Amino acid sequence: MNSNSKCRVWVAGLGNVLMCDDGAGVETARILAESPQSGVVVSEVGTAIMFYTNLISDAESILLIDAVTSGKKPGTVSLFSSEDMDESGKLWRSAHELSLLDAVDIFRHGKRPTIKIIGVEPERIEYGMELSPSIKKVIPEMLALARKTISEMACTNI
Amino acid sequence: MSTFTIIDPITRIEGHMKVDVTVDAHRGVQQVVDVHVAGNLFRGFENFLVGREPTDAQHITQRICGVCPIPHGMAAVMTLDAASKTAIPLNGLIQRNLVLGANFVESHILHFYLLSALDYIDGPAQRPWLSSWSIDRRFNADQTAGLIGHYLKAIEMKRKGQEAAAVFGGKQPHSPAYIPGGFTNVPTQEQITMFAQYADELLDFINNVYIPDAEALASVYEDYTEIGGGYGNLLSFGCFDEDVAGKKKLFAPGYVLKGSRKKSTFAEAQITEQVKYGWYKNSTSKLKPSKGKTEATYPKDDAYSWMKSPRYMNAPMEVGPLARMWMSGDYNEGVSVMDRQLARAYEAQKITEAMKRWLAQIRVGDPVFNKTSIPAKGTAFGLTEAPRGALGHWLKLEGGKIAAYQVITPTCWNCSPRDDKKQLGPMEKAIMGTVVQDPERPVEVLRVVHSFDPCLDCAVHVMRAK
Repeated sequence: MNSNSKCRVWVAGLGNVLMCDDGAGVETARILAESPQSGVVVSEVGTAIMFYTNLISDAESILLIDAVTSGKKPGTVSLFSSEDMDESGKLWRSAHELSLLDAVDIFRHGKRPTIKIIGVEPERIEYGMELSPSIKKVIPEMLALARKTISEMACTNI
Repeated sequence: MSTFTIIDPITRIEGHMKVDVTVDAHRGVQQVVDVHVAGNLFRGFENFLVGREPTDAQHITQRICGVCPIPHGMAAVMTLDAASKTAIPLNGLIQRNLVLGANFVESHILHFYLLSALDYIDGPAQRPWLSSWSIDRRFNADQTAGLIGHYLKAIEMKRKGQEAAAVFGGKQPHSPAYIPGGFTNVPTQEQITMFAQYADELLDFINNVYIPDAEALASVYEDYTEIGGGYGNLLSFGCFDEDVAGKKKLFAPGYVLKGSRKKSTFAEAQITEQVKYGWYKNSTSKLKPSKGKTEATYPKDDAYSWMKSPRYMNAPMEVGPLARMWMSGDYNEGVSVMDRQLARAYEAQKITEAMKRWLAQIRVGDPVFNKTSIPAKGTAFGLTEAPRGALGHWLKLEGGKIAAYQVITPTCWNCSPRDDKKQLGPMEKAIMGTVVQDPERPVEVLRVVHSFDPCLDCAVHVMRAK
């Protein structure tokens, strides 16, 4: 919230750090935030999506980092676009269970910017604050993919 | 023949909460004849606080919930204030209030326009408003268009509320500014001026848009002042301290039974949690939260919820804006779906007006915290309010570390299952008997559920790839 809301790329680390591997996105965002870059805002959003409405509304492009289940081996890191996410069968009745993609749709009136998602297949989603070894091991891979994706998204300098 | 319908009003995927209703004819009227409100999340956060540094509590508990991090931060530091017997300087108190107050106001605005409105109007024809139950729509096209226009403005106001909170709170959410003994930010005149501008804009919206819309809803759906009442038992812990001695609060604590206009004095010692219908060991039932245990057992006969049943003097109590406004003497028209909606809107106004007063009390240059010394051993609790109702944290310290921690959230009160005496939870009682036109699409039940502003978005966030 205190960050500059006008940015080229917004990087959002998603997930609950109290639920083991669900915190992988937040952990990756924390490390990325240690090296600030012009035009790039990195936030450890966690689950508090609705506290980032300015960035959701204004960012030119968005990179989400999160645990993503797609039936692959735990620790598998993949790059998705927002069209790859399963939004089938949803009957939207309450913002209490709002996903970040829903929030983008609400705050940008259905017009999505470029959204990329770096996902890691979780091994354990249960109460705890530690990442599994299989996830810890691939954090450098997630960071490298994030940096590459950010530079592609922010190809023009401010 | 009766129809059994499961409503998943809160969720699409994870299933944090569900409402099972049985609809049947009773005295010739089709209505809810049985109801079970279930929370599907184990209260596991409390257990892993054990063994940690006491000052970790305000950082970890803020992560319990993506909707209410600020109230959890407030409750956690109040618990540590109490443990260390530290008084908070006025500048610290006021800043805590301002950040929490801004959170209440933006949460109420969000509730009305984003969480409740879809039960009464069809949303804009765009993602993610794909489909809703388009039944019992009573507003005409112009009124509906007006409400959708206000919804767009409400989004802007939600943002302003957050920006206001960030003026003093710094980072938002998960503000590190709440500390035992006070608040970290040293207020400046610029910050006061900036916050005042946000407060003026919010008050303008509340007075000229939100309250008129809530009143219009209550008038067009006037029958909902008779629907969804429940027990009429209301409880507030009180919140927003207005003096250093902790005697004067914007919302006084208290409780009433059966819609009484006369409030009684609240005593923390009357709170217990019962677990007969929750997946917790029966040996842990009827414990006070200060001695509370969170020991799961699954499966278990009769149990249907991962929530415990908090009770006050063994009575199920409704918490939330209506309870607060009732205890403060600002609103006591009745207990129903529309009374909850109206009390919430009037409360947003009352808090915003109070925030403007508090700003004038800040003394630039005065201290913002007192040093604390947290004892190695002892017990303490912190009672405050979240936008959706009473929130309490209970702490036990041993050897300088957390030996036990219990959290009772507002939704635990409202959405609790039956208790040991089989009394329905407050939301269950409010749903019971609701007349339903179409058992396949019981919009009437959803309106009751959403009037409580239930919050069960408290855990996992996993996306699914195709």
